[in-house]
Amino acid sequence: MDDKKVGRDQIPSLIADLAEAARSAEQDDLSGLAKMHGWCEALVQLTGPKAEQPCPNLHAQIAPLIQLLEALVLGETEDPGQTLGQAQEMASRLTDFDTPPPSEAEPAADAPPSADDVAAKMDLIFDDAPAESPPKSAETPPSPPPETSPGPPPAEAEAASDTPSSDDSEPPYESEPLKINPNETEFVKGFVEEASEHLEAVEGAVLEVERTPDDSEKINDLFRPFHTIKGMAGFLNLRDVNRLTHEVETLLDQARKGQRRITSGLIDLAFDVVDILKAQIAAIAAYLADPQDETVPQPPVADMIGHLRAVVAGRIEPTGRQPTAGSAAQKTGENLVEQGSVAREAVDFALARQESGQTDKKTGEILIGDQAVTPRQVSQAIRPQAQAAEAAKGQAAVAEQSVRIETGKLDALVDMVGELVIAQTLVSSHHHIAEDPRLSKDMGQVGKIVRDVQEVAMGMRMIPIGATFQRMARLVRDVSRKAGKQVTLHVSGEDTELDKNVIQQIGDPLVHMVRNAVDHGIEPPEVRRANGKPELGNVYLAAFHHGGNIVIEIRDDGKGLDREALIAKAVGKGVLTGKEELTDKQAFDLIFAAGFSMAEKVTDISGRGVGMDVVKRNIEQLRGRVEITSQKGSGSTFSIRLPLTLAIIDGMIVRVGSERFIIPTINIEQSLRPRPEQLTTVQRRGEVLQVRGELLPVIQLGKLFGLTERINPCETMVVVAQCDNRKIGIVIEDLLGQQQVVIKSLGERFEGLRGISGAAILGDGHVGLILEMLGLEAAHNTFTVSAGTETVTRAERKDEQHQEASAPAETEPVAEQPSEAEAAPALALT
Amino acid sequence: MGTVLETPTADSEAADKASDLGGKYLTFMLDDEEYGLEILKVREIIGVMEITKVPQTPDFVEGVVNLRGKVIPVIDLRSKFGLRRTDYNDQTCIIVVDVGMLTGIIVDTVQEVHDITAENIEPPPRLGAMVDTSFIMGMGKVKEDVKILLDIDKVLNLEELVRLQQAAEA
Repeated sequence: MDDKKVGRDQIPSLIADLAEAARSAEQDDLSGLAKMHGWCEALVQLTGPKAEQPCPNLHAQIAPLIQLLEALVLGETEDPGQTLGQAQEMASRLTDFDTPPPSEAEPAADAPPSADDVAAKMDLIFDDAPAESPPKSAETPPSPPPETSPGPPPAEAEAASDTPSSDDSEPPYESEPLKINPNETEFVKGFVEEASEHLEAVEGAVLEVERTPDDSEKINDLFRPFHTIKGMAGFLNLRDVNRLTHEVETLLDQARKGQRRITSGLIDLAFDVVDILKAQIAAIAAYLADPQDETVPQPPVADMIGHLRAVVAGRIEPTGRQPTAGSAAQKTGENLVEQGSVAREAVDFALARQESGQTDKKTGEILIGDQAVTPRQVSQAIRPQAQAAEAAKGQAAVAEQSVRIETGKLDALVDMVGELVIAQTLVSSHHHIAEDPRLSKDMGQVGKIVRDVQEVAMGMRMIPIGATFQRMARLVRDVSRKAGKQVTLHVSGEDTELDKNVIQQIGDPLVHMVRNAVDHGIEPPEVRRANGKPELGNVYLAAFHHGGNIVIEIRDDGKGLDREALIAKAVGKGVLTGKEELTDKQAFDLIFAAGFSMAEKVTDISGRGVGMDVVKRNIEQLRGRVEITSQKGSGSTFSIRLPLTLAIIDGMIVRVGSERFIIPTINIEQSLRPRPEQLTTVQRRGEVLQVRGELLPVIQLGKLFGLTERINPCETMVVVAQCDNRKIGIVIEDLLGQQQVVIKSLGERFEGLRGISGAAILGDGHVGLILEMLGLEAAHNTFTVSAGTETVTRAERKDEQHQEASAPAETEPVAEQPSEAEAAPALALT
Repeated sequence: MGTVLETPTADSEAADKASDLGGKYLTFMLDDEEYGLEILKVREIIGVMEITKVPQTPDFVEGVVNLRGKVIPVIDLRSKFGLRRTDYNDQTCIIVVDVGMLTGIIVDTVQEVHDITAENIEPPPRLGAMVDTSFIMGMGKVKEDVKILLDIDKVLNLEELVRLQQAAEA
């Protein structure tokens, strides 16, 4: 029991939660009742004789409530409606127990109490109690926090504590060593995951609040994730996190009540808190991954808490700068007056729960109460009592909104469904089926279901990109401030879904490109004004579907790419000779060359010239492409085209000899049957093909893989494929059609195969190998050099030693250095 | 018996090992020789199906097949043991074994499952430098016949595939 010790400061929120739940409780909502039961038990523990600060009054009140709830849950009461009524009454009595409500507006009998009101009461309760009255934090001997980070001087906090007000009476916060009970590590892990998600939500919400400071609805949205984290941290005894979120909650509550303006300082402060919380959670996560010590190392929070308390007490202004335009107190006041809109929404909401809100404040609190659903679910999940109660009655489990599943299991499901589709195709082509109309109809139905199942299975790996975009919003804000620019980020298509792996891996390239857009793309305000543009720059981030791909677009209305400057720089670096005729696309693609920086000056944000080449590589690893369009003076657009999922590709199935191969459609430029005059042989060994003025190396796939002799391309077909910025022609015998295929790894055993990235199971159940262009080109290059030696596989293997040292130079005389290979060959060939 | 003789001489170790070997073996034919495979390693036996060739691999790697949605490599055991290759017929089987990953081995015919007790298993004979016996666990005696019991993990050693390539490179 002791390992689940919950701090005294949990009591108010427990009571508030309990009262809130009681209002909406229904006699057959067993999980809701079980939750209430759980909270009651927690309260019993907190107030009982064994607690640090026993509170016999409260304790006595709770005991009968528990009995009522038990009776309800177990169905042992004759008139559940009446019993529930009694329980509800009792729960509501808990909130106004012992003392009259504080001076503020008298809450109607059925109005939900706010956590603050209850907190005030609790303070009174505990003042009456015989036990030590100072809060828990005072029990530890004051000692300076191990590390003092830059923050407000302690004097401020102390000054605050001089003033006799409930907030200021607390001594400076002291971190306690945090120990994680081994039995709870699973819960804490869950907390880390959930809290990280909530913090992302917080960042988005903070920006929303900054944009529309008058919208108290938005403040509520911000309040919610903090509240959730606070609740979870409280139950897990993560005191630092709990206290920090508590303080920021108090601050936000003031803002919500209109007692405080939303200033940019406040916004900055909120972000700072988010950062500290992130550090705290990261520290816990690191500890869980590798527990070094008994105690968890915790980043300091005391300064921030002191600062927050001082701000809450009104001693100092929130950190930072001038209030943002348009967030004057006047407006907040107006908002308070015309809060009809908020109230109406809230009333709608409340009505649905047989509740009628009168003033805005109360309805707001109803909302908060409702938003606290998540912490309840969490708390319930970690509460064996509640679970036991439910399990005992064999009730339906709590409605989970999501289930975490190992990706391995999902992959297995996708595999199996793929097989199901193949098996279904085989069966449905059986001749008996065509003969029997009924059977044929039924098979058609089965086929439809199977395809639906496949779609669902594929969709399970997909998550919306919104969370990633939210990170960008924060980034734009930070970078634009640092660079002294005014930039608004416009986001669209947050609901667009992408494979989870793609989302994870697209984050870094996106950060880079968005940062570039703000730092390099958007001009400083003076320059914009001088050019007749509005000072406020715009960056647009959009995600949408386009032709079977997902496109992520980063557009800015900044200065655009300077084609001439890029070329000049390339010439300066020796990448170009200066004589080439470049298309716009080729010129813009120069920024993807390694060591190329768009910025004329290096800032501490970006411009060191590492990056865009990495960005491009990362995107290509995801089998995507990035394209640039830009107009000097009016902005640039970077479009990233990505496959919907990593597990499936669109492929062209081709035949060579007896084997079938899959060429990813994204690589394919065109396919053609060349005329003899387009073909030139070199030393009777190599072949080049001229297509629209470009010369492409011709890869004899059959010969390279030891399947066939040389095939005359003029009698068959050539697929022209993109390979980095170069193009290659692949000789094939037949185009069999386009198909979406599920990519299968060939496993470690075949690691190191060049030109083959994996396998796929084709419609007839047989395996086709997926070609990979870069490797194919490399294999081709080494192969042609020593053509004529024994069998192909052997020549191939022998060549690998050459490959290591000198591969790119062997047959690509243009590409002297690998780093230039990206940009140079295409240009040199024109 | 082995536990009594705790002196760690080479002979007693071999004897210990041999005594662990008793159990069920799946036997199969390969060029008129009889081989045995620990039954616990065997996942299933399938007929020969169309095999997709994989370039840049040693000759004994026949290719890959689709085993209900999984792509698994298939090894031609004749080729691996340096025996003469023959055409596949309706007797030819792919035995799918689990050696960390699923792998198919092509054999002439699958015979039956024998329970071979430890005392009927003898350590691998020394056959001189010409024959690599490292992947033979022992020789199992079933009545008049002798089955060559394979250490299939060693036969299908992943490292071996890599080493072959390295040897070719060196």
